[in-house]
Amino acid sequence: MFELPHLAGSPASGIVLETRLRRRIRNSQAPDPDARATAIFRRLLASHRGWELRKPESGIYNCFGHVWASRRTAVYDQPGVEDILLDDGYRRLSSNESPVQGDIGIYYDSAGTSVLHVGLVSDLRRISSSTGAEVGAPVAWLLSKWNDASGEVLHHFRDVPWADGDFTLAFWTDRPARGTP
Amino acid sequence: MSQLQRLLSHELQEAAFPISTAEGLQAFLRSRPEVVGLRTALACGELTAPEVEEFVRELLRSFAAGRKFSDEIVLAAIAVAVETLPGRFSEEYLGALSTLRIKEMPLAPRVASLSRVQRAKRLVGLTERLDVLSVPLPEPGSRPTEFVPVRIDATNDENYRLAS
Repeated sequence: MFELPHLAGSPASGIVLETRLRRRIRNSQAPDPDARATAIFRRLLASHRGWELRKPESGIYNCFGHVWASRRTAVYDQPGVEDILLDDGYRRLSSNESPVQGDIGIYYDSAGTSVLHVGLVSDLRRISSSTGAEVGAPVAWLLSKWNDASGEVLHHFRDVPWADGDFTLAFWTDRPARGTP
Repeated sequence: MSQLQRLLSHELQEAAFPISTAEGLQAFLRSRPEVVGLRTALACGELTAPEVEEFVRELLRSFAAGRKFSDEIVLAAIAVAVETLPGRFSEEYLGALSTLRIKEMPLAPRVASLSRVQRAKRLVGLTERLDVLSVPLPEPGSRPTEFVPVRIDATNDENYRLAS
């Protein structure tokens, strides 16, 4: 059944990617997007009016490669993501802490166990009122490379392709906790 | 619309598109009605293994070397649908898909590998191995001998225990 990809597929190849503690992270550089990936991304872009496109569709890296590998490769395994969080000194923000630029937002499934996506906190914005005045507390806007074939977009942290209730979000940081030397 | 065609819906593809780990994609697909519907159709015989094979072959016609194969989401959905189904087709599908190591399709083989591991655990938990003993006929006038099968596990390597 899978003879064609077996024979014609390109062997997966990655780069040397390690955590701060030198643990190897399995990775693979993604090929160029196909027509379907481009079409799906364009539909998402059209249906999310608040998204701001930073970069059109590209291969090579996905969200994890964007945040942790300088856009050089893609990581597809949750254990690798967990190794990075642990070895690179990330901690989950507590409920009384607000994210700042450079922190990350990790999206999980509704059970909060399986990792779906990571985005980089790139901006903190207030809501603009009808008079143009900014109101309310600043909220996080994330820069996201949705997958290994999408473009990069800046979006409000809740403006995502999943319905409310289908995902949970946690902000993580490598900043020390308050009171920690 | 057939259960297989439902896997090609825009809604499913757009929701699965931004998921970047095999673990996340597997968890997401398990909760999808399209996947549950496909599993039910296969389990009750409404859909057959040759039909799924034909659908997959048709899907793979658009495979192009050096390009992302976005329909791998559909292949992953089928893997999740069959992970709890008994039979040779499920074994063969998951086995064949999980051995692919190509950059055009990074997630579906990983999902198939996860499903295989979980399938093995599940089947081990449900399977009871019973050995067959050839029992000599009882001597005339003696009490009949009764054999009682027991579950074989790590703590018990005796196939049968003779109950008197």
